[in-house]
Amino acid sequence: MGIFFYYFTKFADHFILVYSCLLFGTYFILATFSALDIMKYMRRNSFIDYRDILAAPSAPSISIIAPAFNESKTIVENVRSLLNIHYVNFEVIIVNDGSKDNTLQMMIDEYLLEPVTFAFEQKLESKPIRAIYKSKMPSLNKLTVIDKVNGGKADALNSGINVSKYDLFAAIDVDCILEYESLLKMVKPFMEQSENDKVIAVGGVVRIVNSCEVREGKIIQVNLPKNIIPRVQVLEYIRAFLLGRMAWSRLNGLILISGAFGMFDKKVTIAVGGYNHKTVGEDMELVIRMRRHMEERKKKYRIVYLPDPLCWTEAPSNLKILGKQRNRWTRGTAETLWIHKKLIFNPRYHFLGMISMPFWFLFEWLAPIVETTAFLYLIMMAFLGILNIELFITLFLLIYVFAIMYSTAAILFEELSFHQYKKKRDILRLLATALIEPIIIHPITVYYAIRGNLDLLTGVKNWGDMKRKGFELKK
Amino acid sequence: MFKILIIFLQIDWSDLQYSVEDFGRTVYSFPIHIRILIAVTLIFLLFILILLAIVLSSRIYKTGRLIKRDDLQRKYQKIFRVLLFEDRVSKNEINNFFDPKDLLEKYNREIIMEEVIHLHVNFTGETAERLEDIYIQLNFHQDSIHKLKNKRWYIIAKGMRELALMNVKQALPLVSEFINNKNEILRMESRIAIMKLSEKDPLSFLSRETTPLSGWDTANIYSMLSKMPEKLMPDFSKWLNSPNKDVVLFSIQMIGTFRQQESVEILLTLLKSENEKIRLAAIHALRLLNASAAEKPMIDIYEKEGISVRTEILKTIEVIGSHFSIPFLEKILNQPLEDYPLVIQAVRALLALGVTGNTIVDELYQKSGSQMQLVINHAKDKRL
Repeated sequence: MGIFFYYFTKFADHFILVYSCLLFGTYFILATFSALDIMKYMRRNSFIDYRDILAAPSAPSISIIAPAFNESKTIVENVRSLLNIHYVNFEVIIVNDGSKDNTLQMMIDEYLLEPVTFAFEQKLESKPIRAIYKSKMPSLNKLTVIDKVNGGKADALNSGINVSKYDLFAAIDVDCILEYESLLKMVKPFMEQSENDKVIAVGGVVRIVNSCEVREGKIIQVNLPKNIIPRVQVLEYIRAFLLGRMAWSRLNGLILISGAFGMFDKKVTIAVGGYNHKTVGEDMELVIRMRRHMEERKKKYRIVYLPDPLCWTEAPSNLKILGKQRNRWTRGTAETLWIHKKLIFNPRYHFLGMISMPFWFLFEWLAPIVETTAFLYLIMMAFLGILNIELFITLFLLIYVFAIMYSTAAILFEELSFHQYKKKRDILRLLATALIEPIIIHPITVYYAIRGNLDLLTGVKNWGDMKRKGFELKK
Repeated sequence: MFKILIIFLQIDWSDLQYSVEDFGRTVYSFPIHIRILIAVTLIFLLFILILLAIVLSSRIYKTGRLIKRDDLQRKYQKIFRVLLFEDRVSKNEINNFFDPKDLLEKYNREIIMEEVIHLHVNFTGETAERLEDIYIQLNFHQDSIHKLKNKRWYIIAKGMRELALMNVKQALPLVSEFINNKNEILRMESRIAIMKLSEKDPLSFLSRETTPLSGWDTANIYSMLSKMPEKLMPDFSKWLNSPNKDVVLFSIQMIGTFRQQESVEILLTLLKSENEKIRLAAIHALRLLNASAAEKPMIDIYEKEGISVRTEILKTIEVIGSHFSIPFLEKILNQPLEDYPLVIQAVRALLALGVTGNTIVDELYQKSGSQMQLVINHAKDKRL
């Protein structure tokens, strides 16, 4: 027993050390690739006038699909904002996913909607559609409203795809605020694709709107959230989008496009069966299935990520809602990894199988579990009076300092690229947030991730109610 | 703050030196892996300090640049007003208005050049010509030409853009060299510059294009074309035999967009092209040209085409079709209902044929099942 325990503690010490080193190394590589890609993107972008797309005969048409569930407070403004998007050929499809409030009636009254006879093919599985509405006003011809039985976000998006007219569709959260040139920027990679280099999806950076000034569906002034919880998420989002996904995009290994805003090739989406109803991580699951489809057919393809802040969304502003969100994210990741477990370390899927999927498995899904296990292990060792205090302190310091360094790098990227937070004190506040995040908010998010895994094991399937506080509206 | 200063002054530095040495000795007494961890932590701390320094210096640099730019703009605002709107200043006198120090210093010179270009974008006619004179007199065109020799692509692209915006016609051969460059931005800037600077044949580059043209490239070319005087618009049919398929596709699009009616005959021959994209583009262009001569040839190829070409044919028949198409459309509608958008389009083509077409659709509605009735109702609703 004594020998076994000795080897166990030796293994545990080394495992924690090796895992941390691997994590640092991977993050360092990702940050390097991100830096290179953002630099390249910024330089290229300075020569691009997106308005050229507006008049071009080659500009593709886009269907914007926005599911809505119990959104009566904001739906009228949100739809107006979507209809005013700066683009040429597009339609807006709002899918009322069996709302229990008067979301549908608000739209009917405001936009003078009436039911129409609509012939479409049920190419993707979805809950029954009760009615499809169009406006009596010719000026609102771009708007289509679907009223259907509640089936969740994935189901609503599938309904929207079935009814949509165009070859590209943008899936968007109805309460998101889009930047002025968002669609133009998103559509450009599709315009640049060639027959041997098909673009199947494009994602963009999502930013946090809390404390920003919003007027008529547009961001007037970007402010750093006053509340610490959304402010930490600002840092998390900058890290995830600017340091993470940009690098994966450059390596053509991206497997997640945020459900808040993404643009997809409709033919490929339909070919893979659309959004999966059986997971709460439908955004990630769809991207992996699309990649898998292309890999299995040995077709060359790309998924592009744009570093521009294209879409602004409200982040959870209290721990309860944050917990529900992180719980759902963990369940979504775990479900998706389980569905596509065949891909992990499978050389047939090239970069997707050998790098992207193992990374998500080892460093996204497993990380909170390793952290918690390591923490419990240290408590046990301390309880037994055999804790290697030197190792514990130095390792803790190393991890803490690395976390601050990574956040500082993210702040630097933001500062040198899109420079959204212009006030001098914003940078200082972000740096201060980087100091406290690893010891205050991070343990809480780890806790919710563990809860997510436990909920998954006990069969919890719900999305979690995401109550919004609302933007700072300026009239 | 004052208290902190007093405490700072009261520190016994000799003690601290001792402490550092002591700390070093303590660290040295740790096992090797702990020492490595401490070393890595210190390296990370150093990185944090470097990153912080870059963040803060970037802020200071950006603010400084803005202040300097504002100062220079303020300094030359009045001068530009005199140079642009007072006739008495001759070309040779332009140099005298500028501070020689500003013209010699690289950064200031660049800002003045950017200001001239910025003003030029906002003016036309005599004022724009005057700005072009200023640009030449201050030898800024040499700076831009010099940029074309730089190794970095974004400097070259900037140079090309400046020369194009400031209408430096002598730079045409220099910018033309980049038309088949492996860097897509340089190719794009080269095309834009050629279109801007070439007086006789602004689209000459189409004959020399060997690289594929993406939808984005064609959007850029079209954007420039739409601003060009009509007399410079070339006959796009001359590129329909280009070995570059993308040039052919673009030319077909432009024939339709600029309504070059004389190209209908040659477009009809393209309906037999082996390339589906070319056939699709040709049908679309024939629709834009309202080419009734295309009706029969399109019906002839319909059966062997795929869904996308078939849909495009039906859309075109809706615009140009005659009673000749009625049996063809009836045949489609009498087939088993498979592809909804295609059948909806066929109904719409029939409805566009006036009373006869409408009667046929009404009769079909009476004798059809619920699915077909749904399709007909959908087709009749112009909002859908």
